[in-house]
Amino acid sequence: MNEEIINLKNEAFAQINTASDTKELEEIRIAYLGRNGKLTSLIKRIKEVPPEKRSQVGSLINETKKNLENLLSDKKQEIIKSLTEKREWFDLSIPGIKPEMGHKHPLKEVLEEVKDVFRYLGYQVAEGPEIESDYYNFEALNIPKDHPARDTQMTFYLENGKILRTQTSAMQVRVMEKTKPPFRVLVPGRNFRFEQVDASHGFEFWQVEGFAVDKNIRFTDLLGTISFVLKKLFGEEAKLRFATTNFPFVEPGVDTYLQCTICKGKGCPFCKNTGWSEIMPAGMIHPEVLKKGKINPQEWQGFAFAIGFSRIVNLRYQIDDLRILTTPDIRILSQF
Amino acid sequence: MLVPISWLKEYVEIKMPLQDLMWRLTEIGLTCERTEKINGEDVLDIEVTANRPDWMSILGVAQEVAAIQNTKVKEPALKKIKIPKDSWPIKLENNFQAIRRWTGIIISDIEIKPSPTWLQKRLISVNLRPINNVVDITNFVMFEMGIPMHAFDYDEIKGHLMKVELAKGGEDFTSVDGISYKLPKNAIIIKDNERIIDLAGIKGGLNSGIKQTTKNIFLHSTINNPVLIRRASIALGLRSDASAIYERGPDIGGTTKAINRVVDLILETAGGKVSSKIIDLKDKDYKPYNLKLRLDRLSNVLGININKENVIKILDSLNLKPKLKNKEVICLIPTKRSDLKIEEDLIEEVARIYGYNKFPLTLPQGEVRKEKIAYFQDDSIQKKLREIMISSGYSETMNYSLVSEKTIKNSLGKTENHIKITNPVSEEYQYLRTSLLPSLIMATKINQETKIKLFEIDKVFPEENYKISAVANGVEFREFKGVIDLILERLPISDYEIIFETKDNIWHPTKSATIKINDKEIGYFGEINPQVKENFGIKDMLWAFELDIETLHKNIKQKIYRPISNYPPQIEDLTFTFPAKTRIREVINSIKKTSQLIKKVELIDIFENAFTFRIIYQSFQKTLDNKTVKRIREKIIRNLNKNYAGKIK
Repeated sequence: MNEEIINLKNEAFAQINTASDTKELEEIRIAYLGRNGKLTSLIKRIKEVPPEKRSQVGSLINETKKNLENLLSDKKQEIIKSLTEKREWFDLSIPGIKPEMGHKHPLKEVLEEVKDVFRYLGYQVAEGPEIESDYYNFEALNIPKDHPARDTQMTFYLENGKILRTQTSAMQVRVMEKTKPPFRVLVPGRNFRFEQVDASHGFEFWQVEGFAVDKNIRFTDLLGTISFVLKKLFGEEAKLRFATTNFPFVEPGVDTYLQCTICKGKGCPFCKNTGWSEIMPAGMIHPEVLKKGKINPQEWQGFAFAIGFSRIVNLRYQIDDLRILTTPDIRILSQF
Repeated sequence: MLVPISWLKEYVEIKMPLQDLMWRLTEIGLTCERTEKINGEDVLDIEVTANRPDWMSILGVAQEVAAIQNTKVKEPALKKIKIPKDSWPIKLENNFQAIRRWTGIIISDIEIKPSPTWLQKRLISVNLRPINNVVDITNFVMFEMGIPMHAFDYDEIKGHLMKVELAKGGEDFTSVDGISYKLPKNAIIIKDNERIIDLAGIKGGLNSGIKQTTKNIFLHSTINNPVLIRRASIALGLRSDASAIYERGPDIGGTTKAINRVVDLILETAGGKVSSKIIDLKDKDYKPYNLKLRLDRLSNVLGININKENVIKILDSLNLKPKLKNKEVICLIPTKRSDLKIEEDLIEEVARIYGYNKFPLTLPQGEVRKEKIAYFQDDSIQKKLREIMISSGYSETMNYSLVSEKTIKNSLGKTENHIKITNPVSEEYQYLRTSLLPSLIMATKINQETKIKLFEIDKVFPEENYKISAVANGVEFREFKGVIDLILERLPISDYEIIFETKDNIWHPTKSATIKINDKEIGYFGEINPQVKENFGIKDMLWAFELDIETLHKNIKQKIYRPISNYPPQIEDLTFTFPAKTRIREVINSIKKTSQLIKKVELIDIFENAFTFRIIYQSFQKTLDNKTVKRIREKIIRNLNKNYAGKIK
């Protein structure tokens, strides 16, 4: 049996020494030292050895087992070492194969971001009709018939006497009528105005309206909210300035100018060479509007703002033509 | 509104550089983004909001410049008009609905000639062409004071009668610049004994205009009904400097002052003498009025405390004559500031002159509302659908809601089912779409070179319910159908049925189907009708689906975790052949129903009429033995043979 053991050992040594990877080593280990391995089966046959020789054969087997284990472990270390030391050349520059994935529309992408920022500030998102009545779109917002403010909001009329809403502000009084303050509301949506289509105009455009009513909502809260949101959207380095303006449904009225993100204020065609982009009209909700929404203006106050949303998307991606957003050309869509 | 710097300096000192002035004016509401050089002069180009008629004048702008610098305006000094003992005859018959105040005077023996250089220069600097001394002075004073004026040739006013009426519509009128108009109904007109001599508030008439030979004039300043002026000028497509002022409602208390100023300047440059008293017809007395500002309300609304001395200083700089009384400031609002009606208007006055950009930035402090608001939007399903589509290789598009009659017809739809816009920008955008598919089909046309997968999520009309639609070309049907299966599986929607017909003609008559749940339609899928493809010029095979998001939403079942089995599955592939027109979805459902031990059935291969199914058997109780699996397999073979004439291969 001794001879058998020696032969086995030599055979195993030879195999281990010529092994080229760790997987092969593992196979060799199983072949000799595994549950049904060659060496293991010799141990099982120790009964066949005459009793006086058993101890000698036993220690030879144990010694052989130890030797094999040591050699396996040394060889494994040697192989691992050689793998790292070989400095095998491999081309990582080769282009990968991309999983085929679609593209989210840039407007929807930014919209999700805007909703998230406002949800963080405690706003709930509301959704309203695009087919609207003259009352909610104009009258309830202090814009009676023949008010000059209607000039800039040329309206589409429908055969059923309704209109297509010209502003998401149409939702202010709708929500107020049915919701007791306090509330913070965000209304994203599409609006329609009678405008000929060109690079900076369209008859359909997106706005995000927001308004908040509480016991002590203040003008500084409005300015703070605008600043917070625009810095979240355009980065902390975004520069803003506020100016007075007039909308019939707010008092005081605010216009927000964002320093042009393209020329950084130097003046470029994008900002009509002014260095600034008018981006977020706002103001404290006019007491008459609160009254129309059945809210007592001496008890509650609030602010409202509108984000010219298509414009935000354009500024973000430096899109110089509004029509790009509604062109379903994959060469455009696949850029986002 | 054009404001030449040198003209502005007549009334107020300017203590800051031009760039600073432009921004400070913008900050307080007179948006001034650019200047022009006219005749070598710097001229501010100011956008005037609809509520500020007073900013339609150089003096009005000067008042604001004074406020931001805390200086005073120097108004032009007025001379006392010498009223003669006997007035020349003139009879004014007013209609107060049309003209709320009418102030006039007669000057005789004037000499019409070119204006002096200083006056011509002023008019040129606001892009007006000098005409003659009298007309130029009325224009000058309109720009200076923001009150429109008009001078008539007194001797051309037949019967010395002026009668205000509303046009019946269709009357002919020739304006002082020789252009003829047909008047719209309810335009404000002034007639003499014989004819229309003035389109009040918009343009004077040629017949009574100032001529080279004019000797005597009737000057007037009227404050007209802004709505009537607006309607008439829109109907005529005629906007004049005067109508722009009238639409905003000029200072009704300022007409006598303006007349006085014009008289002073005419006597100075055209000679002559006043030959009537000042005629002043008004429906009531227009006087400054009190408006109260509570200091605590001011700080509640603004969020900062501006000390009361500063509040008073700001209101005083705007010439609102503030008086502090306990914790209230009472202002005396001049008639030219008729935009100031409520306390909040005064709050804005204080805030804007204080400077919006000096306010601290804060966030609302109240508690966040817990209850849902009205019109609450749950967009979670839309988000999920968008994720599934994009992960599946589909790109999102956004298309117009407005479509043309041609698009509807090309889609084999009916215009009667669409809401129509009565005043569209063009025929191309006239109807509100009832489906997203036509836009997507057109989108494939734009991209016809490429193999494309597009989707859109948007409202359709008239219900304004959200749909998700997708189109794909260049893919096998099963690859396309897989996306629908994925949507239904992931939401999840189960127990839906498929009906092998569709009601809209946009679909291929036999290669399209309706998905229903509880008898409600979820949507449609299949091939686009070849006629529709032809109409849109699409050559490739085009698969599409359109699902109703609200219906999907209502039928979503909450996902529930099912424990996994600890025993190994047995997996085998069985191939069957079926006769033509066998619906494989039914076959698969039938296999599944054979035994509870069948965990999953998948179609893994199709070759001609042979279908290979991968069947996974698994038990929760034990490792399945071959005998059990064999029994189930034989049952499957028997059932498929009996019910579908399927033959095992």
